Amino acid sequence: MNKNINFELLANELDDLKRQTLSEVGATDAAYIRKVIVWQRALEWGGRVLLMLGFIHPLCWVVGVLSLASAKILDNMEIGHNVLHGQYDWMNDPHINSRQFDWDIACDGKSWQRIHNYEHHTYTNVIGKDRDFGYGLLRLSNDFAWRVKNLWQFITYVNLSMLFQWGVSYHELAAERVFMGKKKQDRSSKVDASELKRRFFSKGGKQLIKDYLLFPLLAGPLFLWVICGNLIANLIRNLWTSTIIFCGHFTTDVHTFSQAECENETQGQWYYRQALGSSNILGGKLFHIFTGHLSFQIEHHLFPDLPSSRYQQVAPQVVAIFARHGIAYHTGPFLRQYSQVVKRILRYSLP
Amino acid sequence: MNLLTRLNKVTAKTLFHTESLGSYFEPLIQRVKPAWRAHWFRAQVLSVKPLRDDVLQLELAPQKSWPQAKAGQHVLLTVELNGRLMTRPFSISSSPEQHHAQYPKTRVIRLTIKHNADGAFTSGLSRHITAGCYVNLSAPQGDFVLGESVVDLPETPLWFVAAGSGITPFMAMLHQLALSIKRSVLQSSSPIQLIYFAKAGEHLYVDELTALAQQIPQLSVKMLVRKNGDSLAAALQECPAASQVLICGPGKFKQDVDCQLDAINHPPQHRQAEYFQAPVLPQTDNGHQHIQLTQRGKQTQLILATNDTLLNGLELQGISANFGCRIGVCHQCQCVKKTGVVRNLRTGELSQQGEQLIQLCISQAVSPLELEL
Repeated sequence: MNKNINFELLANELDDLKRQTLSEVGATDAAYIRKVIVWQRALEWGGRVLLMLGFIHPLCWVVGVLSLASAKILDNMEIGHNVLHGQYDWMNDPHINSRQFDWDIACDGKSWQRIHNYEHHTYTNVIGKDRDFGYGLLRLSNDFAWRVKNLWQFITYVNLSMLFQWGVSYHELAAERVFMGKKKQDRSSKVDASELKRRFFSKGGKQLIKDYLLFPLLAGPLFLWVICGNLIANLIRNLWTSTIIFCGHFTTDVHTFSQAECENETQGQWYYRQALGSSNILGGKLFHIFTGHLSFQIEHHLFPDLPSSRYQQVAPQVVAIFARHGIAYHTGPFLRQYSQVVKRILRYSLP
Repeated sequence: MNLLTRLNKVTAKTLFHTESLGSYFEPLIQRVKPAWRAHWFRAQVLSVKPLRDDVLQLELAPQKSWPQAKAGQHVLLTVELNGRLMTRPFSISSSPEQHHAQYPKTRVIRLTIKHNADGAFTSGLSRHITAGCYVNLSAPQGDFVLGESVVDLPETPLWFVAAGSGITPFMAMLHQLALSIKRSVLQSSSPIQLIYFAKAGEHLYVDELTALAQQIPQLSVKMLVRKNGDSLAAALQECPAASQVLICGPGKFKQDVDCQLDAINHPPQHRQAEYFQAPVLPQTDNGHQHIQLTQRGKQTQLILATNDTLLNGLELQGISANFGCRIGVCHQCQCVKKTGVVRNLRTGELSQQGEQLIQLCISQAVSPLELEL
């Protein structure tokens, strides 16, 4: 950790920024998330209907797939991710809060809250504590010893991306070693293995039944059109979310931290770690919405429960604060960030 | 639960992970039908009228399916104020069958809303609610109603004892009685007494009460002011032991009335009361606060130190709440605060009185709390 930074001042400035922004949160933010939900529903149902009209013109089917994929991306990113973070809990809305909400992916929302909201956001990029760093599958820094399986880790990465929702869903079970391997001594789970298994199969099963049985059956003779459409829409969503998330934490300059470094961390040091553990992606308004504003990964990690629509607004002030304290602010266009991710995966396939 | 409801629930849970199909499609349906909302009755605001600087009167047209209220019942009003849904209970001050000259064809209910110390709701109402917009209602609730006995037992004198905005349920009941007399349903000729305490010049519905006194021959209205020397003891002195007494006002007022009635040997079983401020847990001194905790339906009473976080406090008492980061990031320790005020340690902000989600690890009790883990 850089010892020259005035962590106390940093913490005060960022706390003030959060407080100031929270005081402005209100009707516009509620209207915004409601509008996104309306778009999600419209795209989902528009997509599902168009999928069945493929026999009129195949283009209908293509538009249907894209529409359904967009709906699934919105549900996953701008709605699901952010609502499950508690960003909209202040609305007191029974349908838009982190306690009741669940999303249209294989991962049970509660499981994701434990592994992502708690572990990843508390111990961001702390090796051995944040299992999102490499997801237990990839070697992404010298903090891990090289193993033969890392040679073909790019293929592992491509597979993980395609099956990303299942990776996310299996994440907690893998961490708890529910099916394979021996549980780590220092891991104390609040949920027992049988409950984890039950949740995994029940949520995953519902998702499979819905996209690969029920909706195709409703389409009758167009069974295959719909099943393929749903499969491709899920695939597009998986690739998109995985890519955006990898760009947020695995670009070239992103730091890792050791457990010893983070003992007795102050608020300022915590902010500092979030800053160096994340990176942003430049883009337009629509791009930000479809990334669930994870293109503002730095702001999201500093203020995980600030409504996502506010990240664009606070970003310039975060840049200014970082500049004053001499902290790097990692950002760049999508292709540059993504090429850095690919390079990182390839670089660490070798010893 | 009937078959249809169950089917709806199972389908919604399996396909959309929502409570019902209604809640899943709500955002779409509302585009077409703004009056629609899943799991709530909707009502359109017909008028918003300030009765006084600190009292607002709302006239609402509830949707058809809203169950008719009995005179004296209250309703939970849920309004979106600056993006936040807020809920408060209010007595209905109009009777179920009351005719509203302005809206002859619509069913109308009237709520009389007084600004209170926790002004977030009431001040928001006057700023954001205008005629034409929609609010959410619960089904009518409460047992503070005129019993059948009023009509069946003509010998029982009725005493209404109100303080401040406690007059609201009685307005509903008196209108109901006036209608019964008009239709000659009410046989009773025994006296009806309204004792109404308020600050000087702050009595509500004075004209309406005068008109009611003319329609109900046996009704006598006493508008009293404590500061002008009117005492509760004097007002209740003549109350016969056989009379049915209905009391509505602040909790303290209800206690005072009970004391006076006990003193003149009026039997407690002939009394009904409704008071504001949910029966508050007592305030403790030097840095401690009473907490009422509901955990899986089981209730516990605790006293916690106020200079500690709620999470630490609960753990010290041997209560294991779910937790994660303990620094306000992950929301794992989130629970429902039913009533009371907490301070958010990260922002220093004080919460509102009503129900909301809070994080135990960064909240401190500022007042007695009701929590649900």
